Amino acid sequence: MTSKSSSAGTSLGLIIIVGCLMALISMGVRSAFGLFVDGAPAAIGVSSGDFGLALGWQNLLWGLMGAYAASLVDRFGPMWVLMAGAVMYGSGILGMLFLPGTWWTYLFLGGLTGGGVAATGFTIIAMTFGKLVAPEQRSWALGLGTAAASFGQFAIGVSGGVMLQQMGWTNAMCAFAGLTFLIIPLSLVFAGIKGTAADKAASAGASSAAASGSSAELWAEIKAAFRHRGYVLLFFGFFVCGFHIAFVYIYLPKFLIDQGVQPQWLNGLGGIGAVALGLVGLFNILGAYLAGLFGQKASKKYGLAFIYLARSVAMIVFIVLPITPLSTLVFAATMGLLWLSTVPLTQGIVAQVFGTRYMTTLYAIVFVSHQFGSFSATFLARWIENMTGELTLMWVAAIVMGGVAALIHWPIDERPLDRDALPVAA
Amino acid sequence: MTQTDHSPPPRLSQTRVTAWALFSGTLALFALALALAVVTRLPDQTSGTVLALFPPRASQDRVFEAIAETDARIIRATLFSNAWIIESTAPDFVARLKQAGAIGAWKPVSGVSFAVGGCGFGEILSNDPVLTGQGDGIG
Repeated sequence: MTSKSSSAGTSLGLIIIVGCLMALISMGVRSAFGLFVDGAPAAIGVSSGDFGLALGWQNLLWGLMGAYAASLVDRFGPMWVLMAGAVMYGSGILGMLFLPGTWWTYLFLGGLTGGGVAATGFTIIAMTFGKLVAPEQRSWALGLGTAAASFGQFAIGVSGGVMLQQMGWTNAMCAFAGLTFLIIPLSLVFAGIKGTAADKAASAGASSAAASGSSAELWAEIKAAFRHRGYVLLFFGFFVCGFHIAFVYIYLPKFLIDQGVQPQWLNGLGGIGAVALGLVGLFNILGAYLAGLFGQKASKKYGLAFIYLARSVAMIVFIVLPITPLSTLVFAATMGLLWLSTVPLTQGIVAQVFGTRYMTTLYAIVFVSHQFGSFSATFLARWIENMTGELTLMWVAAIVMGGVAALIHWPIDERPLDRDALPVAA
Repeated sequence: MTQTDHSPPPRLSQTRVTAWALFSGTLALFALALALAVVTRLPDQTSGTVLALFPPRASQDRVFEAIAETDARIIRATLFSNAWIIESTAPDFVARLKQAGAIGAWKPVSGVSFAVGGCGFGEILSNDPVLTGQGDGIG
């Protein structure tokens, strides 16, 4: 499966740049939803708890429907999936505004927008890049797509807070819906990039290729992936990534308040919690890009093992040493570098082992594990806090899991899959 | 993903594509910020606490002079020397600010919130007194 640019003659570089803009919008808007939790009761009459739960469903659906959206991209190409995703994304936001109510919010924000995030997310876009470029540039392209999404999460996340204060809850949501609709015209740049279904059409009549591009072939590929030890290890390893990220993101600001780390000199920037997460966001952009470049030159599995181990070491140093504003900011910058840097390396291994034909689907399935990891961290942290009144045990759990993830990634076989050695699918 | 054209993909200049992607993203966000600033500018007949923005190269003396001309009270400085959070009960406060040389006035932005990562959500806790509900008195 090779492809480089659309038949309209659009250059590959332009496709990548526009794709980066789409990832920026899609992931940026999604990341800002959390800022709207508090204002939901006054704006649409939905309790903060229900609104937060709708966002939880949105996250889960992003993972689950992401796998389905990815399979559609693999089969039919990205353009229609991205367009449909943008329509779902924006309509979900508008639907929630026009039909306020708890169940409607679950349906629109949790369901429809969740599907939209899944179909327009950086997973879809970065993996599309990965298919378009030469194999030796794949890791870089995956890193660039992830960095663009990280840039959006940082920049639109910050803008979202400002929009909320300046425009009000409803107007800011409308503006976000408008932003997501911008993905529709941008998707046209992807016209001409076909999926495996085009192979099927092209090979119609040739009996030997009858199964090419079919859903049966896709299922066979998924089964083959789960028979590959490396894929299973990657699947479980990515659970830890989601676990770490959700825990640090949601609980670090509260942990700092519990520890009495609240320097007045950072109040003008929203307090140390906001500044720390801002640093994570900034360094995340750099980390994701650098990880992509690293994957181009060196073993991706060792890169992943290092990242998970380094996260554990950073967490140990952070909680063992006295927690000060300086140690917090250094910890935040370190975690930022290690934040989504796992993504291009994980995507890269999937592409390297299984090829590009169904790589979007196979990565999206691994990503489901990531989302379950983040969901688990939220519940475990809340449970531990309720039981013990503090989060030390949660830090210990996160540290141990980082070590386990480093071990899990070590034995992954990164060599391309020898398909001749596989049993033929029925 | 396939195409009808099966020729090998061209090798890209990584530096050039990365630079253009960064430039496009920054430009897009700048356009968003500009549109946001225009849409959310406070009308002339506004009183209360506002974020007043003066021209970038306005001297500190000129800024204080302008604030004094409007009989406003300084609430606090910001990170930028040409942006101040000030307050006045005059019904045409913003109009007077503009006459005194301000570019415009906006609701004060009380702290910033960041959202990062692939999965988290939630509002950032803050001990900023403005963020916690004090000092936002748009009239």
